[in-house]
Amino acid sequence: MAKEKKAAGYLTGKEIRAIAKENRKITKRLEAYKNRKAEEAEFLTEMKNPENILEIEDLHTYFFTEQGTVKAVNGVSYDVPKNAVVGVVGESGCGKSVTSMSVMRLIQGPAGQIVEGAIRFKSWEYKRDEKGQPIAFGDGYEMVEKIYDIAKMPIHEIHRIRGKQIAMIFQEPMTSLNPVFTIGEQLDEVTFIHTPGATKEMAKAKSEEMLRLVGIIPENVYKAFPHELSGGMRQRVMIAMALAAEPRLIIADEPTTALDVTIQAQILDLLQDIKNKIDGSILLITHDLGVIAEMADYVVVMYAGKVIEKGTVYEIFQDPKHPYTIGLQKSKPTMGLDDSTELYNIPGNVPNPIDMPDHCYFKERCAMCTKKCSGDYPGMVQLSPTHFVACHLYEEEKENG
Amino acid sequence: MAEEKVLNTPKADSTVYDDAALAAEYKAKREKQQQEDFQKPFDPDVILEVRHLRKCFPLKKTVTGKVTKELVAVDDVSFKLKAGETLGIVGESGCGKTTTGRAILKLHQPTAGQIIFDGKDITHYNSAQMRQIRKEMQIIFQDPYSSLPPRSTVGGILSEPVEVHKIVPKEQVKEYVLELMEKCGLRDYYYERYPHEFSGGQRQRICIARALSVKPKLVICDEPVSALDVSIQAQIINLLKKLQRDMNLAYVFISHDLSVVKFISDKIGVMYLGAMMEFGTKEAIFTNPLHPYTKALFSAVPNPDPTAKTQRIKLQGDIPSPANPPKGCRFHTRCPYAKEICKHVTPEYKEYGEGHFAACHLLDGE
Repeated sequence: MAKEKKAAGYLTGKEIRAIAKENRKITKRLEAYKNRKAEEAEFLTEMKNPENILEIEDLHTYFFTEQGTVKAVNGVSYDVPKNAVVGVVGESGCGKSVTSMSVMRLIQGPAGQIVEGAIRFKSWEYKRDEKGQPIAFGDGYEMVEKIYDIAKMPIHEIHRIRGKQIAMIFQEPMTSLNPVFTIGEQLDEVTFIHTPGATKEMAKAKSEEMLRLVGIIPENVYKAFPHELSGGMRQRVMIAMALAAEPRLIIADEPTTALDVTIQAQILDLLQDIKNKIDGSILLITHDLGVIAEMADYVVVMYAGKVIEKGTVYEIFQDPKHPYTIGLQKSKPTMGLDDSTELYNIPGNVPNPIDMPDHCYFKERCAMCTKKCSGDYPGMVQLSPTHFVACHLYEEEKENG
Repeated sequence: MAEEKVLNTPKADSTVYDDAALAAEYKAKREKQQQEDFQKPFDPDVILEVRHLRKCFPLKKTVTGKVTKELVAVDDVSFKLKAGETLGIVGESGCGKTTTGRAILKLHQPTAGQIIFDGKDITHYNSAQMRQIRKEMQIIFQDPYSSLPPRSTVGGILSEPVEVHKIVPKEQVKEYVLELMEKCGLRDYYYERYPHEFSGGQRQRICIARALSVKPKLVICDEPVSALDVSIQAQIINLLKKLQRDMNLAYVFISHDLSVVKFISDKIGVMYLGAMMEFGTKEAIFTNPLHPYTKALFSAVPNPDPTAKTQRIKLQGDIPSPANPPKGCRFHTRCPYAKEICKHVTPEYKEYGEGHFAACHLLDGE
């Protein structure tokens, strides 16, 4: 019996204590790095491609638990170009949300830590003098473009970017608004924090403008509390709040999952519309392939903490290469599908995140796997200037010409 | 034909409507219709028939316990379901689809209406009588994480209903359960394990096995795949279809996901704010949707083909609160084709084709 339990990943108290001790050592070091004081020069960097607004390169975000280290994000790289919608798709637990949380530096420490990698972001902010005051220029303030490595930034410097330059729309509009403040108060706060010298009137005018932008009549909602609004309205308020600081990048983490299909259509139209108005980019995270196909210009497919395929929306949907992407598209019942046949399904489950295999993570569920798949994890193969896939099947193809 | 009628621009309507009189007239008409329908004999082919089902929940009570305000969760829903068939119920949140499912099982006592299961009127059965009949009608819940007892093993969960209802002799229970587990795609060594050791898809398989352990004739599936990932969804849908073929089950499949409902159902009912808006065979509903709400619902589903240009019928605003539904047609506040009559007169739920029902003024012409 004891042996059986051990085989199923059972840990004794002694083992758990040993892991916890090791974890404390690592997280203490990483927390100290996170809370250090640093000169700005230390986290300034250069973009690889000046067309991009965000570049994530080889990002590793781990969670140090008593059961072992969960590699939630394990070497993820993708770019968000200017004025584009990048869709990240994957099943629950594939690390798509943790990647976006890492960009916002919202990973809960000390258990969760960014261990390695770079998140380069092109920031457009006020030029400041030695005292940290913005320098006046004409009616407004002088602006300057800086490129930060978010992963290297000390946590107390992150307010330069979080909320102001990158805004986030969360999945649950019910829980992400504060129930004890009115919508108006919560919206005004954004302006107070991010605009130097903001007055009450300025903040209110800005909030009302934002509410109108998302299709809400401000008179009815400005003084209302979150519980008085419906789910769709709350999500609109969340979007208004995200827009109030005029961000360059909006991260929408499953913005429509909790909503009904007719309300979802309204919100998606709104996001499309907003993107054109604010001249920014959207990073759209969802598990719904239909939403991705309608919204995104570029698609990133993630599986078990890694990017397995990325490309333009046409490449991913019309010419998917990775067996997982193919399976995912076939297994989704669509409105036009002939339903006399059985639905295609990917057998099995995602491997245990604590105990990842050495070979390709998808091998056990893959219908097309070869001998080579028992070897190392496959590297990224470039199929076209924009289309990348991590699969052994295409490595050979490439070598053979 | 119906398509053209609906797309006509509404004509100016100068009729003056007396809302109170219309409401009284409608009520009287409906009651008469109900009395007639309740007297009709039971159809022997039909495993489940629901006649004018109505369920209200009290919102406000006076000190003496008199209900002064109520929420009509399900209002006048009727349908028939044959053995081995699947009825899909779709609708947005708060439309009463779950309440309908629960009222069929009498987990909620219906306020009015008739539920006829397997030739017996079970509407007024007491709990002892219900216990006898419950083994023939089972339910699978949405959330597989909260619907399994955490302190029982899979073997315990699956053998309990078998023992209670004496499906097989006591010594054969384990054998029977293992056979059932195999049918549902569960390995035999799971017998000794606890629910927390399983993923969502596996847990949903356990829930399905538990529902089927008593050899039911009817299974209510209340959003069984909504909490699961796409690749796991496909596994569960295939399993449900396979079991239906093997055991000749009838399903009532409740879901908000139209593509899933289309895949699994033979008949589809579209609900909005507690009332059935359209009902018909899958082919009829998908090739020729009559009601504007059905059309809007279908066009709102995102298409996983980036080249497809979808022509969306946009619905304005949110779903009204079911505690205070609009007068006349429930849908008129969001309907892009609403006319003056829609604001005052409740449309009749009528048959427009072979087994194709809908409730809309626009279909009646002028």
